[in-house]
Amino acid sequence: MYDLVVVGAGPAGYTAALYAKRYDLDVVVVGEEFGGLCSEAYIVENWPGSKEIEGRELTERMKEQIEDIGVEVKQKKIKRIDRGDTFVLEAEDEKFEAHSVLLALGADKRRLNIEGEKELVGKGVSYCVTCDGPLYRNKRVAVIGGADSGLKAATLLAKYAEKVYVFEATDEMKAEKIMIERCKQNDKIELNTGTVPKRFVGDEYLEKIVFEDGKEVEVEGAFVEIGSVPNRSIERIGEEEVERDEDGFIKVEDDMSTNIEGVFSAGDVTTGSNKMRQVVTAAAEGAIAAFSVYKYVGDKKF
Amino acid sequence: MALKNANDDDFDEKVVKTSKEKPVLVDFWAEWCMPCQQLKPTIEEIGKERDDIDVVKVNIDVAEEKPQEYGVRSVPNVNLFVDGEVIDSFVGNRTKEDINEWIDERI
Repeated sequence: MYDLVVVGAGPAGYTAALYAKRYDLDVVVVGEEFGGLCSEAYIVENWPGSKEIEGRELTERMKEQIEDIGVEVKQKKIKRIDRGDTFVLEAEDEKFEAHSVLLALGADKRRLNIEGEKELVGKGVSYCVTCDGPLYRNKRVAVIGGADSGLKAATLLAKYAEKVYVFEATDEMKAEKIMIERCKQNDKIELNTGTVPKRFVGDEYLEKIVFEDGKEVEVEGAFVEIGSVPNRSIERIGEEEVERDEDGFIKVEDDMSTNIEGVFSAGDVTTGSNKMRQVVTAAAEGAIAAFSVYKYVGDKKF
Repeated sequence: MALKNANDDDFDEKVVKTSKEKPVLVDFWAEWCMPCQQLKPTIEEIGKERDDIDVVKVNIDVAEEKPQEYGVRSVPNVNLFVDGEVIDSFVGNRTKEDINEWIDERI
């Protein structure tokens, strides 16, 4: 029996476990993907204390830190959470029983949902530039999305690719000014605004992108970087629905509690931190949630 | 247990030829890819636990020709070979149960 099961192994879940363990709670972290979306980040430059660090390294360090103090981190997918006197969380081959649950489910990369996208995933269409970027050495590639993640993707791709087109749907690049400048100074990168992709075309592999205005661009790779959506792998606890807002974010109070007693939430999946969805806000929410769990478990005298 | 590594030289022997006798699951992976690292233990367990298939890992930085030949444009890239041909593939990390189910539906 655990005091707390953390569902989700990203910065929010790891930080919550760090704090919970230091409050002497029995805690375990169960997640599908170690490090979450952050682990795919090419470079993180706004985590205080690290001038620049790969997302993968940052999340590995977080994991090591909690494992060092005795928290187990398990790679499993929680399929169902039930509630009797306690919470029972079911993975495919293991069950976890706990007094409280933290939903640190994180976010998934947003899809464009245009023609040809689904068919060409893994065949030119990608959502992970750190995974697939190096496969496009001396090729022509596109990045869809002109916010921070898009422009970071472009600078990484420019190391390998012959040419990198960035296509932003609105009339201006949304990234931090420093990123826009960096891209402008890179000869391989071409920034385009007001360009809305209509479909991906290719028989077996991606060959070109067709845009709403009729323009066509031939590329072998297209990296979709248009933000993220809250993960919906867990919608209810037993029969009770976890309350979300109209965009799918789990509604939380200031103390990270949800509409269900004993169920807390933190990180990119919540309505917290003005939905800023940064590593630093995820970690903060994790810490706050852990303190709330500590109080909750103490008050209940389990 | 049937867990192997293959490179450009022995790929045809370990994968294409073997798949004419039993299905072969091939995982194209890379050191620098985080989802690949996460899938690795799962793939290795499947290889150790299943006798009805062979599981072959291919490091795409070591083997360069075969990933090209099979059009690997994302990693991790898992391919199921039957009778010398790829009958289906998926990209990205999945759980062991999902992969086992995916295999069973196809063989």
